[in-house]
Amino acid sequence: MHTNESGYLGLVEVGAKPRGVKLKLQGIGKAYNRRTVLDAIDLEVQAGEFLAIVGRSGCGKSTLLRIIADLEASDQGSVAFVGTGTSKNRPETRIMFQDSRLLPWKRVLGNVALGLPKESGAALDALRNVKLEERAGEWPAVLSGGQKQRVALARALVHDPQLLLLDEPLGALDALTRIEMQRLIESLWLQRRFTAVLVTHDVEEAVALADRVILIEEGRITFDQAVELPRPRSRGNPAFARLEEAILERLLGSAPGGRADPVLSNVAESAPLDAACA
Amino acid sequence: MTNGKRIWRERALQWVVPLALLAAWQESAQVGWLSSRILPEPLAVLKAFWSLSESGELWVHVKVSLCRAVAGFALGGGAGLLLGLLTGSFKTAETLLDTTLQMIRNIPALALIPLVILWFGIDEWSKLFLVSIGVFFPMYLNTFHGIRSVDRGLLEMARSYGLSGWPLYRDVILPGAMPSILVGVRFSLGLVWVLLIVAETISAQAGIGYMTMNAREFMQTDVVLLGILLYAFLGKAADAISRLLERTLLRWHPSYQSSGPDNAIRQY
Repeated sequence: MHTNESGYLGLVEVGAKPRGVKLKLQGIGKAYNRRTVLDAIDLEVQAGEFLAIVGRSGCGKSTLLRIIADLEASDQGSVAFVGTGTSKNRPETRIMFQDSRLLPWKRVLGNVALGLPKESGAALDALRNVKLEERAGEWPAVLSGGQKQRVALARALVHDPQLLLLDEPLGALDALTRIEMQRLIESLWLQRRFTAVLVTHDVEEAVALADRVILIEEGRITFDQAVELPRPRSRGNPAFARLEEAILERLLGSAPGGRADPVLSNVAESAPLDAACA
Repeated sequence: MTNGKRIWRERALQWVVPLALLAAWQESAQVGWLSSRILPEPLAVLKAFWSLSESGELWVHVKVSLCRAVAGFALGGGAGLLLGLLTGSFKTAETLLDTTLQMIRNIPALALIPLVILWFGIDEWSKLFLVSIGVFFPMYLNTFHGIRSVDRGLLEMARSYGLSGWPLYRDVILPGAMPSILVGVRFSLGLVWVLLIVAETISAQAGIGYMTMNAREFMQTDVVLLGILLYAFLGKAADAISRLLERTLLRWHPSYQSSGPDNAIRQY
C-alpha cells in the first residue's frame, strides 16, 4: 500500500525524555477451565518503548494485555514496573479497547474529563490534540467510529499515562481511518514517550508503529523482532514490506494444519487468517 | 415546507374518525335511537362537567384522587426504586431479599382487597396500601434489571480510570440503569390509575370512583361517563409526564435526540 507521508503530523520531538516505565513480566501463566492460554511468559519492555504483540485470534495476546492492565489476575508469575516515579507500585496506566467504551450519557468533553478533577482545561486540550475540539459538546452517539476512538484516545492521554495499553483499538475501523489513527497515535507517542503495548492481528499496523514486534503462539512468545525502520515509516519502503512479509510468513507458517495442538486446533475454525486481511 | 404541510394534514386527518363518531353519537341520541339510560348524549356529559365544576364538587373529587395517586406512587414507587437499587448493587441484599420479593410479587395486588379492608377498614390507608403495593413491583423489577444490565465493558473502563464508590455510581451505574428505571416508572404510572379505580369503586367517601358509583345509584349516566373520561384523561396525563421524563433524562439516547429528520413523526 502506497501512501505519501505529507499528512504526518509535524509534532516529532525526537529524544524527549521518556515518560514511560519499564515493564517486567516473569513466568506469567493463565488457564481457563484447564485450557492453557498463557504459558510462562517472560517479557521485558523498556521505558518509552512501543511494543506490538501479534498473534492469531485466541492466542492469548489480549489476555496478556488484560493481566498487565490488572483487569485480570494471572495464575502464575508476576508483573513488575520499574521507574514509576511514585510511591505506588503501579504506574499511571490507561487502556484503549476495540470498542471505544464512551459513556453514551456524557457529552464528548465529559467523557474525556472522566476521572479528572472538575474545571480542568486539560480535557479540552486533549480533544484539541486529537483534532476534535469542535465536537466537545456533542453526544458520542452522533460520532463516527474513528471519531469515537479519537475521543477514547484523548480520554486515555489526558491523564498523561506512563503506560498505554492498546487492545486492538483500530480493529473495527476502515482502512483509511485506521492509517490516520496510527499516525495520530505515533505522533502523540513520539511527543510524550510513554511506554506503549499494542495488541493487534494486523501485521502491517504492528510494523508501522512498533519498535519491536513479538508473536504469541500457543501461549508462548515464539518470535521477537526489533523494527529498526526510521520514523515516519512509509509503507512503500521495501524494508517495510520485507519485514511485514517475514512476520506474516512466520505467522502463516505456524498454521495449525501440521500440528496436533489442542489449544490451536480449538481456535482454528473460528480464526480465519486474520493477519492476511490487513 | 411541503413536509410541514404534510405533517399538519396527517395530524388533522387522525381526528376525522373520532369526530365523526362523536357526531354520529350526538345525532343518534337526539333522534332517540339511544336511551339516555344507556348512553347519554355527548352534550349532556359536557353539561354535567360544566355544572359539577362550577359547583366545585368535581374538583374536590379530582383533587382527592390525584392526591391518592401521587402519594401511592411516591410511596410504592420510591420503595421499589430504593430496594431495586439495593438488591441490584449488593449481592448480599439480593440473596437476602430477592426470593422473598419474588414470592410476594406473584400475589395479585387486587386479591389483597378483603384483607386490606380487614386491616385498614375503608379509610385512606387501604387505598394507599393497594396502590403502593401494585406500583412497587414494576419499579423494583425494572430498577433491579437496569442495574444488572449496565454494560460490563463500561464498568470495566470506568474502574480502570479510577472511578469507584459514589462517582462510579453517579456517572456509570445510575445513568446506565436509567432507561430500565423509566420503563418501571411508566408501567407504575399506568398501574396507579387501574388500582385506584378499583379501590375507589369499592369503598370511598370522595374521589372520582366515589363520584361515579354515587352517580350510578341515581342513574346519572352522564356523570358516570364523565368519571370514566376523567380517569382516561388523568391516565393519559400520567403517560405524558413519563414521556417527558424520558425525554429529559435520556437526552443522550439516540432515539431521543432531536436532530433527526424523523423527529417530527416521533412527536406523537
